[in-house]
Amino acid sequence: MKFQDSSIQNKIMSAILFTCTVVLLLMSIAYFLFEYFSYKRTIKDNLSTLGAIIASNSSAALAFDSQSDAREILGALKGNPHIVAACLYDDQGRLFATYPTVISALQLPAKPQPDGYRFSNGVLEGYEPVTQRSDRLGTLYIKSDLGQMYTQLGNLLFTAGLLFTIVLLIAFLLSVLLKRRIAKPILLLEDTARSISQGHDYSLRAARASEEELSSLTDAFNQMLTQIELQNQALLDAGAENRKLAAVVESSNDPIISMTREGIIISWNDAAQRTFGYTADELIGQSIMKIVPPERQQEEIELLTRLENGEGIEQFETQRITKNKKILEVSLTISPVKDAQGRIIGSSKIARDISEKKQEERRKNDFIGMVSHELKTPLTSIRSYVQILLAEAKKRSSDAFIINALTRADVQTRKMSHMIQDFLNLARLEEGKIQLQQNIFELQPLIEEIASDAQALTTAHHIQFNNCTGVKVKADREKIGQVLMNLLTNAIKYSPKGGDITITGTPQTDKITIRVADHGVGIGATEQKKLFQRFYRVENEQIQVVSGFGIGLYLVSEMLRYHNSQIEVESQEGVGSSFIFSLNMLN
Amino acid sequence: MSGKKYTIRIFIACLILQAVNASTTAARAQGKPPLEYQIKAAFLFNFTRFIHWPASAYSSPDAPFVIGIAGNDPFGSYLDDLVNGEQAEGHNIIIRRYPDGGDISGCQLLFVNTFAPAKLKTILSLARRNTLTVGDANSFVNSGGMIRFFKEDNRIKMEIKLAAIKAAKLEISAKLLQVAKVK
Repeated sequence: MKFQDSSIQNKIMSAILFTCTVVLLLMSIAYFLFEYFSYKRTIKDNLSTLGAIIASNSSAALAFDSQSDAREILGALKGNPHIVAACLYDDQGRLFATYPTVISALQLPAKPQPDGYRFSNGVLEGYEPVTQRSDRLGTLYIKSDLGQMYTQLGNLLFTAGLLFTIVLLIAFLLSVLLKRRIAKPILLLEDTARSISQGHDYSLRAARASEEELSSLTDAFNQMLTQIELQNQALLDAGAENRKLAAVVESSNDPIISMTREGIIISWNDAAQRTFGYTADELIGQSIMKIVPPERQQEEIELLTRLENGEGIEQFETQRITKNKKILEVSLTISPVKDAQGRIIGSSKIARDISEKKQEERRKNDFIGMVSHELKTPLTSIRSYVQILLAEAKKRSSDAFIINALTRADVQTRKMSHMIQDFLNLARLEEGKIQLQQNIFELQPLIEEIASDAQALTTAHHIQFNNCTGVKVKADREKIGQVLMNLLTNAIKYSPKGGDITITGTPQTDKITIRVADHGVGIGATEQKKLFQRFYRVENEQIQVVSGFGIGLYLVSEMLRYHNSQIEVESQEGVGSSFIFSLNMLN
Repeated sequence: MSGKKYTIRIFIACLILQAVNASTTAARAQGKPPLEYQIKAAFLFNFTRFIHWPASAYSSPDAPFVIGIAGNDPFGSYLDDLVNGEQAEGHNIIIRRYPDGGDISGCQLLFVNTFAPAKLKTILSLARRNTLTVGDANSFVNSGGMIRFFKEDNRIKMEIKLAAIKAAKLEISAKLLQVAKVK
């Protein structure tokens, strides 16, 4: 079994024993080396002392040619069993006496070597000068074996080995005790981890150990478990949410398609399949252009560009083509899809099939157009008769009641003819049949005319305008007249208490800004946005009684759009409203 | 240098003594004393290494160390060559010869080459108090001499009269006593 694969207990025990062994070995080697060199030095010191004594004692024997005395002096070396050989040389290097007395000359150096003591070939050899009063008389050679040192070192090795064994035994016993203690909390952690992975119960926690690091580890482990539990719950919740959303998407009656930034389809719901005829398998991974008619593809590219800029698109009406090459009218709501870092990674698109609605609308428009047209002819004739009657009544100074009644009838027929005109315009707009008759005309007479017409409708309001004489504009005079008329009638309608209504023309370099201001009920900020939608009527307690269809401002907005202009509103509830637009001016 | 000189000679002398008995003639032919006297000359010089003379042995601190030879000189120029340039305890060694006795009181070491007991006694009585006396005569020690050379097993040996040396206030190395016959 490899070390990596063994249990933590065995690892701890091995670590302890290994450490002990290494430490003991190092200590033993260090001690042994120390002792070895120490012994060598001692032996050398001892031998050199002995040599010095023998050499000193030998001087007279050499000086007075007494070999017997020399042998006797050398014989004293018998006291040290490790001295294996010794001899005296005269100062010419000739052998004078030997120890032991009978010894082969081969065992002794033929000539003395330089003074000093040296270890060589397992022996210690020394050459000691023999002097008397500073005169050199010869040389003593002395040779000792290292038996003493080896014996000592042998004893040392034996002692070290014994200690080694005892210490390792103690270390082993201690490690057996310690490994359980150290490994216990780790094994507890392991048990907890295993229980969790088997039971998926992230609420389990490991018991805290008393040791500092291990309890930190346990705490960290438990914290991690808490996080995992929370994340697991979040994942489960998100999964449930996802399934709910997926169910919503799948059960939606409207096609819901998601795609990448490049327009590659990545999801396709049942409604999409029903509407466009393609199955999810057929279209996922394909370009969205597959359901865009060729003439609309440029528009789709523009939509994708707008999405790239993070812009959402709501109720964009366009056309799509089905698998059977049928053109569908759709209303698109497109939202950018962002990743966790907020980067746009794609888009989701809800396409509502509005083909039937469109057809319905067309029928309705036709109906309105037809009705308006049919109403307009009799109304014109009624209005003419009312006006003739009114003129006659005034001429004949008839009854004030009759004049009053006829005047009211005139006002009402005017209103009605305006309404019918608006409906006709609406119908034309919807059909796209409206066409501008652009002419250059003086603005002042038109304002005077319209103001006069509007003033005729009310006595409670006073319509004022500034002098714009000389200002010529290029526009459809009739349409601009209707814009002004609608703005004025609106101003009258939404100023139930009466008051001034002002038309202010402000010429700028190449444009003239026209402002129609009243002191009526005003419009709330949220309503202002929807003001120019078709059939939209502001909800306000004060104006519930006011008649209207909610098409006036829509027509104003549309007609100005045809003039490349746009209507803006400034309003404050209870203070009044101002509608502003501008027209190209000719200098 | 001096040590080398005399040890060579001792060694050669020993070899020749042991090997050849008729060497005397040969040595003479070369202008050298007999081997026996070559060894004795070396021993005389070596005494200066193993014996200490008191300061009173010298007339002045820079006085020479005098080796006197009373009677016939058996060494010839050999002893002169041996001690040439050598010192004993810081004093230059010189050789003086007294063939007919005379004033031997200035010697630190006196070799008495006289065998006649009467003459021997006369010379020894003349020797100064701190003079080491060395001789060959059998009665030398008994006549008041300090160190006597004698032959044993064909080797030159020494007999030392320790009491006389002590009486002369000379200090003798125990190592010298070890290789000599002490009386």
